[in-house]
Amino acid sequence: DALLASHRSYRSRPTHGIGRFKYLLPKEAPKRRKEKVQMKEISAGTEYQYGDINIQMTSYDLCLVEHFAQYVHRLCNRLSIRVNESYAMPTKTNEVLFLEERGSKMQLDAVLTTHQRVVQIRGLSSTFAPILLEIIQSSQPEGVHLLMKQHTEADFKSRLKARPELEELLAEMS
Amino acid sequence: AEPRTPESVPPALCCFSSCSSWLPQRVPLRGSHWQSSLLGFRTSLPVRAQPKKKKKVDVKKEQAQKERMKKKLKKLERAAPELIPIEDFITPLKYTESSRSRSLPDLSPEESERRVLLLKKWCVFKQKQDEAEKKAIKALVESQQEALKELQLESEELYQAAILRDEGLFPFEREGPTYTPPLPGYDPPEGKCVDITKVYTQ
Repeated sequence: DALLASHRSYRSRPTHGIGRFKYLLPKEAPKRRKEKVQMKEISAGTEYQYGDINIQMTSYDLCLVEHFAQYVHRLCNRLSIRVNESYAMPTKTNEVLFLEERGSKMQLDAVLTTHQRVVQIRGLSSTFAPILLEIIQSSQPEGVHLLMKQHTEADFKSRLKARPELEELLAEMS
Repeated sequence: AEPRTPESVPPALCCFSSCSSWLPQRVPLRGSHWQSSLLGFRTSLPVRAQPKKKKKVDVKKEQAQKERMKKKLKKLERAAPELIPIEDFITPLKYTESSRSRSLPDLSPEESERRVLLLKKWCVFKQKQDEAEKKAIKALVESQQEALKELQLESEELYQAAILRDEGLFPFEREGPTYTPPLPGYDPPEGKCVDITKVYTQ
């Protein structure tokens, strides 16, 4: 701008800074830089409490698995169980081929997509865990495979993109 | 490769000296069995090629290469790891075409009335379901607390052992219920499953 580019300040003059207006505008929040994807600390839990637990729901049907994940999330909120994260794992696509009755060629039967949702909870007490399991099992929909396990670093790493160049260089260095 | 003292010379050398008579005089005798080349002490064949490359240049080149690799590694490491994009949340472009919109037919007042009443019945049904679930949870928790209280009165040790967390509980796996059980004696056709998931690299 011409105002900012001007080097003629004339600080002694009474009209110095006459064109200033930015101090009158409301302060705008600083631009948020892209937050780095960092792994959060995995708590091990005490003797009477479990640490980070992943509730993984897998199915071929997207809507069912999404709604079930939402239901589990809301249930944990209602029972005041702390939910760390609720995310989706990348979708896996499978091509099912079958051998024709009279012929040697494989024919395409269907293309199936497997969807997975994860709800991560922390601080589940040892006495309440079986009750929660019972409730989730009783409302498990058809075709949805449920898996509950401890959260590990390997689980987090499986969400990240593969970096073959970095691995190659590391292998060369060592 | 200095000639060894006579004591360490093996008896094989004796035969050398014996057959030295048929050897041509031009070939120098090997001083000892330690000297493997036929040339004398501290001599080498004259080489017509380039003088031997000094080792300093190689070391420098290697060092430069290593530094370059380290720089590359640092640069790659500084880049933050990215999450794999999830295809579920990206709408395919063909669904954003404007030609896909359809016009719905007008509803008659009886039809809309019926729908509203149906919605209300559904809300009531869901509310009853939710309340039943809450009651079930409450009953389970209460009965558990009562049992633990009785156990504590019974024996402190067992109570403490019962409170501890169960390591064998996780990992827990369960398949969802199916509409129909698997057919007995079903012979599926031969086939295979191919994984065609797109692999993302950074």
